[in-house]
Amino acid sequence: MSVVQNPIAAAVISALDDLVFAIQAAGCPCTRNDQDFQPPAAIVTPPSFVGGTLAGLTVNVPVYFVAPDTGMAGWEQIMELYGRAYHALGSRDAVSTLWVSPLNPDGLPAYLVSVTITIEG
Amino acid sequence: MPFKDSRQGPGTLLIGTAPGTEYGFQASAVKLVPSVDSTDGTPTLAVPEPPPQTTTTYALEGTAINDYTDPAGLQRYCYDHDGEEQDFVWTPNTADAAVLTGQCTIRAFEMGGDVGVQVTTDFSWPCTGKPLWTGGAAELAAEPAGKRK
Repeated sequence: MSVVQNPIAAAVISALDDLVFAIQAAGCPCTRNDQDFQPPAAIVTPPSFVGGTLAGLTVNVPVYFVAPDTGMAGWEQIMELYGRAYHALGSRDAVSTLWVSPLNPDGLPAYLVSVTITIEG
Repeated sequence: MPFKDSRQGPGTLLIGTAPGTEYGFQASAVKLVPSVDSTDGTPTLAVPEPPPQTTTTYALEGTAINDYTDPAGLQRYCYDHDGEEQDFVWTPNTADAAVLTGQCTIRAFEMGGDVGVQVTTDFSWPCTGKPLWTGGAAELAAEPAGKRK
């Protein structure tokens, strides 16, 4: 159950959910909950607040397309997923990196895309 | 006088005939820009060194996030109303009483830019006369000193 009650926080959470749905609709498995994350898939991670407009705020959302292992087949899988989600993201910069989480402390190969979203608030 | 650090947001930017349409969510910067035009006075026999003749004009300027995919967006509005005089009401911060109202001439602004990123574009709309500044610091300054809190 979400602890979010503040309208600004709720608007950000809603925008993150919209991003997850858009990536899923493009044919790429996606979540923002690392507890049920099963690579190859995309994961939407906590945003940075980077500014805003007169009546809104702007966040940068890191989205990782994560391979299940370090083999070339894993890279090809996430290239395929990124290709599907490419237009939904509205961003053309994807950086190869490692996705590290408490469940995967050694890291897994990933593409990192930073998505800028401005939210009315 | 205590120190004050005025910052924008959350605020509103209403454009068009009252009550106007709210476009504050598109504007990442808004400012009122005064420009001073000064010309030398003409020396006369009586006043050989006249003061310069100065006039101040104002413009409502800022930066807006491109929204050309929205037919009801700010960019389309400016394109459709380019050159027209429109009312504006700018509230830099709704928690404060300072409000600027006036008329400005809408100018279309640049559309598009880099691919795959959020694009912002500067705009500049010359004001008709001097906008009316109500509330906030101006109202405080107009009060007798004894009434100040």
